[in-house]
Amino acid sequence: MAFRDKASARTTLGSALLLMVALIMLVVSTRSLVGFPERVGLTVLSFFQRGFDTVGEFFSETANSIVELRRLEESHDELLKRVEDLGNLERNYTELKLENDRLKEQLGFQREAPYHSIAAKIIARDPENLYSTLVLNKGSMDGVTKNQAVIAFQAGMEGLVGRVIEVGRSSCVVSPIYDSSAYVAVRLERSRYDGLASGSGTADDPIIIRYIKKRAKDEIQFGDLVVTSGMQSLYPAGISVGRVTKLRVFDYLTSLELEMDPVIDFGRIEYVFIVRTESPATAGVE
Amino acid sequence: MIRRLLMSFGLVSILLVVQSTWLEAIAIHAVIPDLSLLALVYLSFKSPGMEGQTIGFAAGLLQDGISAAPLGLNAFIKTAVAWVANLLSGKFYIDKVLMPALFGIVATLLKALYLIVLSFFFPGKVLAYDLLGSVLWIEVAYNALAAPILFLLLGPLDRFLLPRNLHG
Repeated sequence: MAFRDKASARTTLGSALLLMVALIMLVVSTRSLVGFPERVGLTVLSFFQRGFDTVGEFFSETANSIVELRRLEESHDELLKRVEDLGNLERNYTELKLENDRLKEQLGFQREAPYHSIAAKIIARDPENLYSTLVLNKGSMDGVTKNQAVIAFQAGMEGLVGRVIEVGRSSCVVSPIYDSSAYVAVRLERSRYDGLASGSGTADDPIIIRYIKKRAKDEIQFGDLVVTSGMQSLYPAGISVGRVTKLRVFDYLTSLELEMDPVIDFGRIEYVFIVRTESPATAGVE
Repeated sequence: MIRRLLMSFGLVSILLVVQSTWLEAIAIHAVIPDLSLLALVYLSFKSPGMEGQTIGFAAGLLQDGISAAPLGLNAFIKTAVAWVANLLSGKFYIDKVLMPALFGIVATLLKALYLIVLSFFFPGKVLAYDLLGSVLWIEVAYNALAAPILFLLLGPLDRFLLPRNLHG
C-alpha cells in the first residue's frame, strides 16, 4: 500500500514537473525570446513530412494516372491543333514584343520585375485544427528568411498567400492571410483607399478589412479588387489579395468594414512562390 | 524501458506527421482528427508509470515546432491530457467501441478546456476553440469515430509499447 502511494506520488510529482517546464516554455515563447528549439523541431519533422508527402503523392498519382492517360490522349490531339495556331501567334508576338520594348524604352519604364521569387511546394499543413499554417519544402539553404511574402498563381492571377513565420534548413512555415494572427496593409485598387485586412481563422470565412474611411462608401463596389498597399513593408505593393464581397457601415465606427474573399482558393494550392524582396526593411521586421 | 519509450514516441511522432500531411484528404470543413492525442491517451491509460506524460511532453514539443502554436503549448496540453488518462489507468475496462469513443470525446473536450484556460492567461498568443463554433464539435465527433479504429490498430503493438506485464 505504502509502495503504491509512493509510486503514485512520484508520478504526480513527475507530471507536475513536466507541466511546469511546458508552462515556462510557453511563458518564454509567447514573449518571443526563443526560436531555436522550434527551428530544430521543424527541421527534424519536416524531413518526415516530406517523405510522407512523397509517398502519399506517389499513391494518389498512380491512381490518377490511369484516368489521366485517357484524358491525355484527347488533349494530345487538341494540343497538336493548338501548336499550329501558336506557331502563327509566336510570329506576331515577337513583333509585338520588340515594339513594346521600344515603346517602354521611350517612356523610361524599368524592364526588371520588382522582386525575385523562389518556387516551393506545400508539403504539410498545421496538425492542429486551431492553427492554419502551411509547411513549404524550401528553407534557409534556399535563401528563405523570416517575414518574406508568399504568393501563388491561380487561373492566371497572382494572389497573396501569406508570409514566412519560421525557417528551418530545408523547410519553412507560412502563416496564410486568413490566419487570425495575420494582418495585411491593403488598398482598394479602383478607388485607392487604404485599409487593414485581418484573417478570421479559417479559409472558409471571409477576410475583414477595417479602417477604410467612411467617405469611400459610395465609391466601393462589390467585386472590387483589393491589393497590397506596400505600406507595411512586409508585402510588396500591388499583389492581389481578394475581392470585396460585403460592405458594412456601423454608426459607432468612424470607418467602414469590408468583407473580401481571397483571390487564392486555399483548398487547391499546391505550389507557391516565396518573394525575395531585397529591401532591408523586410529583414528584421517581426 | 528506454526502447519502449522511444518506440511510443516514434509512433506518436509518426501520427503527428500523418496528421499534417495525409489527413488533409479526409478533412471535414478543414478539420482533421487528432490521432497523436488519441494514441497518447491509449498509451497513458495502459501504462501505469510516467511514460504517457513523458511522451506527451516530447511529442508536444515536436508539434510546437511545425505548428503556429507558441513553444510549450502543445507540450503542456499533451502532458496534461496524458496525466488525466494516466490517473484513470486501470480503473475502466476498455471494450472495442464505446470506451475508446468516449475517451476520444473526453480527451478532445479536455484539450479544449485547457486551451480556454491558457488563452485567458496568454490572450492573443494562445487560440482557444469557440464552444459554439463547428470546429470543436467536428473534431470531437471525428476523434470519437477515429479512437475505436486507432485503439484496435494499436492493440497488436502493445508488446512493443507497453511494459511486459501489461500485455497478453
